[in-house]
Formats: sequence, structure tokens, C-alpha cells
Amino acid sequence: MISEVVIAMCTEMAENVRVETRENTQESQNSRSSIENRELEEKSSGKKKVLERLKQIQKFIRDPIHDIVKVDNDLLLSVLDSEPMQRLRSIKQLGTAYLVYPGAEHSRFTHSLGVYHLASSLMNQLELDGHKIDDYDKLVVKLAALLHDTGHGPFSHLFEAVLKEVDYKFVKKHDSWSKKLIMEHKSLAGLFDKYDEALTLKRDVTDVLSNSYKPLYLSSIVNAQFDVDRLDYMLRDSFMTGVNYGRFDLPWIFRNLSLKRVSEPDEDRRMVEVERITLDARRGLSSLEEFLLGNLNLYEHVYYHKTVQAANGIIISALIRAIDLMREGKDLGVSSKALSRIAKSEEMEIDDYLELTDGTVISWLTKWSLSEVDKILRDLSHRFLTRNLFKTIDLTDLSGKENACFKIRAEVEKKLNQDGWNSRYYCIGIDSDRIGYTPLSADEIYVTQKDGTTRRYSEIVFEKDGNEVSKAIVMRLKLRRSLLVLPEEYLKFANEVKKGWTT
Amino acid sequence: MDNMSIFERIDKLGALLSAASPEGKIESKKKLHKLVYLLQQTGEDFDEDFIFYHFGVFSPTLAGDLEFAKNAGQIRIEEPQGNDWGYVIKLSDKLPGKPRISLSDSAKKLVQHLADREPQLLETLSTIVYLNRNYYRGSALAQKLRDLKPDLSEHYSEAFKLSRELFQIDIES
Repeated sequence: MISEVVIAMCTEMAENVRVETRENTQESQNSRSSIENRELEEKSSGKKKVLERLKQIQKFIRDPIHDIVKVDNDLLLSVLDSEPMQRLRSIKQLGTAYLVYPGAEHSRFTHSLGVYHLASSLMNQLELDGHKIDDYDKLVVKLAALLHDTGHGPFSHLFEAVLKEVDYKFVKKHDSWSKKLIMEHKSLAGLFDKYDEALTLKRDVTDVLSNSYKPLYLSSIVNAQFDVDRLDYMLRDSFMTGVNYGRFDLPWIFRNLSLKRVSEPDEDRRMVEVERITLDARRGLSSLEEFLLGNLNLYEHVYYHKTVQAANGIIISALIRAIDLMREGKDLGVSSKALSRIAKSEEMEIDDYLELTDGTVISWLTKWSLSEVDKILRDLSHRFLTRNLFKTIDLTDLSGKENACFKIRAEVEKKLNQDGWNSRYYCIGIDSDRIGYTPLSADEIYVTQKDGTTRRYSEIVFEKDGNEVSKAIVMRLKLRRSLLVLPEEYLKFANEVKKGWTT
Repeated sequence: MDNMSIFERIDKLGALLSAASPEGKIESKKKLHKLVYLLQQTGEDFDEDFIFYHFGVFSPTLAGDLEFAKNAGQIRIEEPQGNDWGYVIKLSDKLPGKPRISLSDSAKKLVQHLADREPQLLETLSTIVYLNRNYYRGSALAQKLRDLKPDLSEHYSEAFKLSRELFQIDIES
């Protein structure tokens, strides 16, 4: 009897708890949806105000790749004139590649203009195809395209390697610096805030660069395996270096792009419906494959060219040497807050970072090449300025053998040190991987087939009756290079050591 | 000089799998991607690049490395059957000796703490950390999380707790 009463009481209590919980859940859902509605309304009114404040203009800029680039509002023009953007004129798009391809003198500035132009053109194409894009969203994507490379350091990617090597603990990667500049650079962030009381515009622009701006397909215009960044740099780098790799039929690709809803799997193959920019496979597949193959060819013959890597090696070594010396308290005769903070393991301020351009580094090297402060620094600087570059030996074939590269390098280093060189600066290992196309990646390329279905490119390539040429192209899209960079005097010795491992 | 080689990256993955369970196994590719990202954010030296997409952070480098390690016989990947989902990644029995690169003790603890959690919880947690690294704080972060991951709301409170405990990220929910 007692137990029945207890059970009844417990059941009643449990029911009450359940009702209460349901009420709480309902209440919390109502409150959440009211918060969400309020947030949506605020956001929508904020966007409207930004658009109302824009002044439409017609500014035309001539470009060797895209002919005419049109800037159509005053905010875009002010951003173009801002300090972080103008600084990009002093950073070469291809770092030290001009020492191999003399025409490769183009800057991150012209590339950024090109990316902006292509982002605008691609959105126009999607609209022509019947998909309306919100004016605010278009503005955000254009700004992101324009600003995506502002965070590059001297000689583009090279400076990131220096920061890593000297164990700099703060923001190292250029894409993180780009976002930092958008959010925190006084005049740039101030410019956004002038147009946007709600202060969300700059965050929306960084969201595109972080791939988290909704609708998510908009971010993929600037950030994906097949994006306007790659489309521009390939055409531009190909044209400026004079190589014939990397060219493809851009107008035809654009003509055949559209927006579709597709079923996309997560990492564990769980499906969800999403919007994706897709390419009409019947017409555009050959152009896409030209693009993929061209990208890898550029990596193989331009970006990872052995002499370019050797030039990179010298400049990286010189900067590491300079920082090492500053850490020992030596005065190198250059006044640079950035360099001084890096040496002290302090965080660089935005203004310190912006002082760093190719020109700044070249001026340091010029000074060091004439200075008596340090023999190694003088030698490295002089070598770079006179193009007396290091040589390379290719260890790629040996990189699969247990510890082979490590042991060859150790032997060369030992010899260098025995002869009085310092192997930290005179023997540099450079490992480069490039996968021109990653099948089944989160940023897959989607294609629409003859029957109207849209699928991932890798699925149609690798299915049973897939095109053999496409298969061969995708299999070819992998590049791995393991180089040892060292003074010419030691090339013969290093090759002999290598021979011992190959025979 | 600037990057870890693919062999070093795979060694590091091996160390992670060893830390995750005695059999060197993780039951979900999603979990592996999110774990590597979270470890990287604590300062552990993983040389994988990450992008963000519909399902949170994802590393194309890691995806490529997994395929490479599978083809080289260093790991086994059991695929989901039929309409199932969920890959199982396991260190191969044939792997010679110990990985040459190991995880720090704090990283091992983090892996052990999170390896048994649901993949969707790790998706929520890594999204919070990603947003925090991209200038989202407090209520703005919670708002953005709701915007990006409305379907994961059941994991919010646990993910908020973990983000506070493990990454010192405070969110006003």
C-alpha cells in the first residue's frame, strides 16, 4: 500500500516535472525565437542604412588581364585608397620569382583589383542566370575580395616562414592579418563604421574571408578550390611571367556557372541540402580541367621553381640571422619596430606590421650587405642583391625512405659546420606539398550533368564509366617537392651523399 | 623550412590516434577534423590548414593526409555501409614502432577528454573556438552560432561549458 502511494506520488511528481520542463522548453524556444526575430530585424535595418549611405560612382581602372575594372561606389573607392590597400603596391605577387621570371614584377594590389573584378562579374553572372543577390551581400563580397590579401607580409608567403622559424607566438598567417586589419586598422575600420552604425559591416566582410558569411555559397566565391582568387592569380601570373601554363577559358567558365541546391555530405557522409555554385559539365568541363591542370603546372614550374626556392631560402636565412643577432643584443643599424618586436618576442602592432614591405626588406639587405656588423648577414644580403643564389638538390624521390632526407641533411650540415659555415643559415630544407584538387573536400567543385543532376566533380570522375582523361588529370594533380638549399660550393658534396642513398 | 612534411604530419596523426584509445582508433572523420583543429588552437604543432564550411571546420590537408596514410598502409579506414554514416579510422597493426613525433601531455589529456564525445558536440565546440578566433565574443558569438548551427542547439550548453573550461571563452547564451 505504502509503496503504491509512493509510486503514485513519484509518478505525479515526474509528470509535473515533465510538464514544467515542457513549459520551460516552450518558454525558452519562444524567447529564443523572439531574440532571433529581433536580431534579424536589426540586421536588416542596418543593411538598408549602409546601402542608403553609399554614393554611386563610375570609376574605371585599366587592367592588363581584365581590361576595364569598374569601381561603382564611394566606399569601395575609399577602401581602395586606404593605407592597407595602397601598401599592397609594394608587395610583389610572386615574391622572389622575378629573379627567375623577370616579368613577374606585378603586385598584390593589381591581383586584389582583379579578384574584386571577378567577384563582381561572377555575381552578375549568377543574377543573369536568374538568381537575385541582395545588394548588401554583393557589397560585402566585393569588399572581401578587394581586401583579402591586405595581410601579406614582405615577399608574400615568405615572411610567414620567417615568423614561424623564429618562433613568433602571435598572428603569423597573412589571412589572419587581413582580418585583423579589417577589424582593427584605425582608418580602414573607421571607414566601415562611418557607413554602418551597427558596426557589423566589417565583421560581415571578415566573415566572408572566414567562410562563415551566410548564405555560405557567397563566401565560396572568394574562398574555395575553384574561386575568383585562383582564377585571377593564374591568369595574371601566367601573363606576367610569360609562361603558357595556367591559361583557361574564363568567359566560357563564367557563362556556364549557376546556383543550385545540392545534397552535400559531412565528413561522415551524413547528408544535408545546401546551395552551391555549379558548373555546367556538358559545356564547361574541359575548361575546368584546363584550370585544374594549369594551377598545378604553375606550382610546379613557377611557384615551386627550384631557383625561386633558393632565392627564398637566402632571404629567409638573412632575416632569421638578423633576428638572432638582435636577440644577442647587436645593433644592425636599421630602425624597425617590427623587427625589434619580433626579436623581443613581443606582439607586433598593426602600424609596425604595415611598415613591412618588399622595399623595407631590400633596404635592410642593402645596408647589411655593406655593414661590418656580421659576416654571415653581409654575405647573405650580398648574395641576394647580386643574385648569387644558393643551389638546390632535389630529395623528393628519397622522401619515402625512412629518415633518408634527415640523414643526408645532417651529413651536409656537419660538413658545413666543420668548414666554418653555420648550417642554420647555409643549409635549408624546403618541403612543399600541393594538391591541385582535393576530392571530397569541404570546398568541392560541383558540376551539373546532362541529366540535370548536380554532383561533386570527383564522383563523376571516379565512377565506373568515368572519363579516362579526367581520371588521369585528377591523378596528376599532386605535387610534392623536398629540396635542400645550400651554397654552390657544397652541391657536389651533397650530391655524393645523396648518391650513397640512391644506389 | 616552413612546413612539416607529409610524413611528419602523418606521424603526428598517429600520435593523436594512439592517445584517443588503446587500439589507436577514432570513430568518425568529423571528430578527427574537429579534434586536430582544437589541438592546433591550444598551440599544439599541427601543420594542417583549416577552412570553414556547412559542417564547421574542415582541413583539406588532413583529408589528403588520411588518404595518403591509408594507401601507405599506416592507417585503416572503415567506410560506412549503405545509408549509414560514420567512418572508423584506426592505426594499422603493421605500423612499425612508435610514431617519431609525439603529442604534448596537455594535448594527450585534451584528446582523452574529448575523443569519446559526440562528433556534433565537437562540431559545436570547434565552431565556437573558430568564431572566437575570428573576432566574435560574448552574445555576438552566441548569436552567430545560432545563425550558423541552428540544428545543433542541443549541444550548445555542453559546448559553452567546454569552451569556458578548455579555451577560456565566455559566452552569454
